[in-house]
Amino acid sequence: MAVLEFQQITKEYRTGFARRRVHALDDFSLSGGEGEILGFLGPNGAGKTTAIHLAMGFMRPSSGAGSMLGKPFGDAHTRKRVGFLAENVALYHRNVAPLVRFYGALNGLADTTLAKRTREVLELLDLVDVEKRNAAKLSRGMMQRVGLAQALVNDPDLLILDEPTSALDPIGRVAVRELLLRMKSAGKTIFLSSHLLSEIELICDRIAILHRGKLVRLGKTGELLESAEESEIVARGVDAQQFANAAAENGLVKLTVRVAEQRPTIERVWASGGEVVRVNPVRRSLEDIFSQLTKESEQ
Amino acid sequence: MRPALLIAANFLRENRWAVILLLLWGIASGIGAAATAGSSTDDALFFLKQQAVYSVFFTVFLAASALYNQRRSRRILAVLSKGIERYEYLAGIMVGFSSVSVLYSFALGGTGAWTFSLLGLSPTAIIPLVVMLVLASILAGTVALFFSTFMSPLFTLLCTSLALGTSAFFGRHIPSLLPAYTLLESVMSFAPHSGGRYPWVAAIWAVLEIVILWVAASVIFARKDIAVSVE
Repeated sequence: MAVLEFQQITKEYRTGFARRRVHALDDFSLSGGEGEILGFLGPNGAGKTTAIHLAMGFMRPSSGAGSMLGKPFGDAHTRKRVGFLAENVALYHRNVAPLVRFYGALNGLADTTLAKRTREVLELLDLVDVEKRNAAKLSRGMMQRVGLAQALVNDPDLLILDEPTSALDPIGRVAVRELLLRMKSAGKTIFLSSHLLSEIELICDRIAILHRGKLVRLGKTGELLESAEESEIVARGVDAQQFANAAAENGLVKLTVRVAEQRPTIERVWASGGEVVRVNPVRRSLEDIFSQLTKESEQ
Repeated sequence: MRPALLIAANFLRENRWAVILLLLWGIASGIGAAATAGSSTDDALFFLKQQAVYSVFFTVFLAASALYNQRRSRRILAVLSKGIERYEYLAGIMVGFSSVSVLYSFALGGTGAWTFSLLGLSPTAIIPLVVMLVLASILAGTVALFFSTFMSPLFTLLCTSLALGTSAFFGRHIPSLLPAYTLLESVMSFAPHSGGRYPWVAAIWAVLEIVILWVAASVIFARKDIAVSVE
């Protein structure tokens, strides 16, 4: 079952004095399955936050529809099973523990359950030392953790996080990454929007790339990162200078060739008395893919 | 009901300094009125009535900016991401500003009762005046909240003034039309030993209209995009 589903959603804004039309999302469809971490990538203005706000019911689509945990977007009862962290988290200026309790109570938690869950998330996010401090006086990174605490207090089935680690230091990022992986292994579904490509690459099962309101690529992380066009052949016992795009390293020669040239190149290695050690598709960085896709869709 | 009360309590907490100042002002004003009671009955009553009008203004100002402030600060996102309906959110804000109005009116009413006793009037005579004042304030605040669901605070204040002003103008002919002025006028025109005639029908209309305006505001607010993309 799709935990989060966008069906041909278009969202139009009118901005400025001339009420110019802006397409934040254009015929956008996407589906997130149970128990997966779905990464949501895109440059500024791609429509990531708009998609998240539509799912949370903060805004309504101009056309199309969507569902979250089997119910249409905006269903308040469903939101009790969802944890949400907004980009640039903004919370009330009160002490951390009562603040987390307040958000938990809004989600219907009460009495001992509320107290227990508040304690658990404060410990989980290493906030026990600051639980009696006013959230307004915390650093941005700490505030982000409080934001995560309010998102997790109801033990959600679905987590929607918009730039959850943007304000965190490297140690905090690792901690959040581990937390998300733990939540995934507990069967939770996570929808993660981020600018940090390395983060997405490390933890997401699938990646959706948005550009100018359109979905330009969707696939499993491994498949996206592996190029279907190029292979890397590692051989030994050959002279690197005999081949184009070859580099010698530790007695091995690495050859990068187009897939169509893979077989003739291997035969050339064998013909020259060499031995093929391994053949792999070229693994590209998410950054390369991201730049290429955004350039392609601009053309 | 619980989410609305939580939001109302939070609203009071967020506005606690304004509320405390308002309460102190109400109490100090009542004491001021009591102090002048010995020299002039008219002066003491005028002083109390003047403070009563502030209740309506404070409530309108609080209600007009509440939604806008929450949206601008983006704090509304974390709240509405929880399992609450938009009508519950609005009800919370309404209970919040109504509580401010009740607290102020009660503070003024408490000291007013003391003033009444000094003037030789029955202290219980203040009760219907407080009821009229509270209802006038809540109704005016609800009108402002209604407009604030689709307008900026400035236009909200303009439209609220226009709506209440229009109803004041036509109030004699159509007593059911947003009777905030009718209720407030009954407080302002209070005179000792006048027999205590109060516009109870208008008060009932006010209660009904508060509910109707809340429903109308909820319908509009439920269709409103509360967050525009920060991208």
